[in-house]
Amino acid sequence: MNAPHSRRAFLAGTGALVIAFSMRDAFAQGVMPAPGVAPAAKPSPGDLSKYPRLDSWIRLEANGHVTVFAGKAELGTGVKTAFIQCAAEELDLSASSITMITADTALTTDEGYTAGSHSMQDCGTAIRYAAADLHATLIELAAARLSVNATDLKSANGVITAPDARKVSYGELVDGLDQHRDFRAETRIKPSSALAVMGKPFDRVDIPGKLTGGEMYVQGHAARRHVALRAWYDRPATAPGSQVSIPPRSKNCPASSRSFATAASSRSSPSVRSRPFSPCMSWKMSRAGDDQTKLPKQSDTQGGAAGAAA
Amino acid sequence: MVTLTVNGKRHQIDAAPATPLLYVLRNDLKLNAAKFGCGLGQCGACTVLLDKEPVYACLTPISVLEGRNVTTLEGLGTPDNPGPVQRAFIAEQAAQCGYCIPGMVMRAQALIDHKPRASESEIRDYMAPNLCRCGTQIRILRAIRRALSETHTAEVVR
Amino acid sequence: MTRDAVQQTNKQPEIPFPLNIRLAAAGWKLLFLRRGPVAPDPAQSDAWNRGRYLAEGLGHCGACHTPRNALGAEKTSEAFNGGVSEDWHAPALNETSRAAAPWTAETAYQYLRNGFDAYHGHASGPMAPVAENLAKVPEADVRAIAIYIASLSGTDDAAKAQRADTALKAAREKTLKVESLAASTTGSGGNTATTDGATIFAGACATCHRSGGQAPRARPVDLSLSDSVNAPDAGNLLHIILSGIHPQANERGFIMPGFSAALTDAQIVALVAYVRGHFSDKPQWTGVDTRLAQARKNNGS
Repeated sequence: MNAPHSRRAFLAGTGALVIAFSMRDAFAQGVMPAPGVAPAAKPSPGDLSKYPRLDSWIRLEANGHVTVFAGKAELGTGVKTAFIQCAAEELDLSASSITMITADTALTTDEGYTAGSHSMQDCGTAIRYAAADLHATLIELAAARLSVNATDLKSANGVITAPDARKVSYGELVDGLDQHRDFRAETRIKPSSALAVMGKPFDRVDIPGKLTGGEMYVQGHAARRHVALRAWYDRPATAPGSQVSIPPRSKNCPASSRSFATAASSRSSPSVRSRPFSPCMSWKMSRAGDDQTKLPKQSDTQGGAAGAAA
Repeated sequence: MVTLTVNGKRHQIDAAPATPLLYVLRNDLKLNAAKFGCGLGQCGACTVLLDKEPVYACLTPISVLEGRNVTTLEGLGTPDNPGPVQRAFIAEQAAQCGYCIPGMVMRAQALIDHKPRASESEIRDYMAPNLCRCGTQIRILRAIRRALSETHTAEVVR
Repeated sequence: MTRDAVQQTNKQPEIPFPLNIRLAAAGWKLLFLRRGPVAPDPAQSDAWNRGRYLAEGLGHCGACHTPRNALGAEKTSEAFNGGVSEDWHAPALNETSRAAAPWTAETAYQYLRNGFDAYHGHASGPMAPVAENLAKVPEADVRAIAIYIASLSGTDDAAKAQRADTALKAAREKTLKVESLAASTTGSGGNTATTDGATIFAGACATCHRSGGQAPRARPVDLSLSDSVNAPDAGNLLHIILSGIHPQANERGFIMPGFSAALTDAQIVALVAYVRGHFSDKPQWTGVDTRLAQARKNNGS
């Protein structure tokens, strides 16, 4: 009863405490109803319910190449790669046959912000269902062409094979394929037990570019702008902040030397004053209503003193 | 006119001599790897090598660069033929958003050049000036360790 | 045990001759060690006496801020005249202080407690860990030390305030000149000489140091007020240019990057000449190149 507790014995006793989590439900929305809940009548296909056209998400070309469109941006979370895995999984296609386009306002759907862990939930799910729907259609077309039962066909690497080894590639089926149609609600995605590409290690497609100075997309700004200005933006520690508008480029003003500076008011004077120090500059400043008291404390305490000294 | 040598190529730059190197790299030479992070030498996103030493491109006026060699991430390798440190970062998948990565790679390159047998604490000390906000540090450290050990292996093979 | 044992050969002592002879220490103590309690000065406040007790005893401020004789003992006749520590100049704290704005009990407190005072600058070099430690002791003790230290350079607070005011006005005028400097070097026709100090300042320093302590976030000291810029020795400014300013390990704090790799010796000398000439009313330092070589040697850059 009162046996002494050793740390070793205590640790041994906790050995069975295992914490586990599963991504099964995330990968298989609409397939696996939650325990105790009756199977849902309709799956939830993510943002496909907002943009139901199949070719808003996925397009198959006659050469067998597939282009996938996502309205979510790759911010470095790896979703671009995960979307490719989603499409490759449901299409039984190798990732090298897939071109992934993310967040291009001319080409993709508008899925709103890329935030709140919604990329896989809303967009990844939509791509899975769209790919599954396209795959089912390809199987049906192949069954008709090869005069066999759809259930007897197998697909892998973009090729559908009949029991007698006759083959038809996805590209060959494009002719009879209507991709500009609505998603079919009866489409089902693979059960999590059948996943071969998703949930497996997969090199991220955006990383080589990030390691070699390629273009990339960072939090809403493509990290390649036409010209970066060297701007000195002063604002006093305690006066209301100021907004600066950047001067237009002029022929007298080569890109790199288009420096400009602003010097805002001293703390004693609320009026905003600007001092140009380059012939290339012209700008206007207007008072903005940002509240300096909401800046982090550090910059206010010491900055206030420093501002007074200046 | 200021003459710069970047990644082994000489350039005549028509810009104010006080212009920081970063602006010339990005605006004039279209080398986009070095990033503007803070502009104050606090974050390391703009790190490039100057004669094999890491410096902040955002605080290095081009006037001081006459006769010296600047190396940027683009100078270490290409997408088709990445350099050893780039390969190590790719192998370890050591990037999230990637904004800090060019600076990280350049500082790591300097570390490998100067201290090919750096200990764990030396690696951490040396990399301290470069910040990553995504939280990729553990993978970055792993990539640097990989690059260091591959450098040793290469030495032995040679 | 949760860690494996480590094989490690003990290091040999690195204390040089003749300091490694214990008997020599006895002789030194005979000559220089002051024994006994510090007698309070009844003419001064309790806080001042407490401050003196701490500064001269446990704080041993004079170990750096008082010059030493040939045997390494503090010259008591020149107490707080300024000394040397780890190749850094420890500024004078008495009336010979070169600080543009005189120390007051309040500015000394800010500096000792927070490692920064807008009228003097950041605690750098060997002073940085001092401020780091004083951030953790009782506030009253730091205030007491500050009262004592400020009294060393005179107790006429009105006169001190006036001098600080004058220094601030002068600093403000020089700040304006920084921007006109930038005007002369940001057009594409600026000085392209690789050792033009003003151009180097405009490109490497002015982003933070242009408007005397107003730059957002960085909050640097106004260079006209900086003790390093006004010091009798270029060493501190050189050390800061070479290595920058960094918080203590695992602590938060301000960062100034070092420029030891970015700038050549000739460029650093030119920059130092520009900074001293523009921001200080003291004469130019001589032998900056020799001092720079010494500083590079001592901080390993």
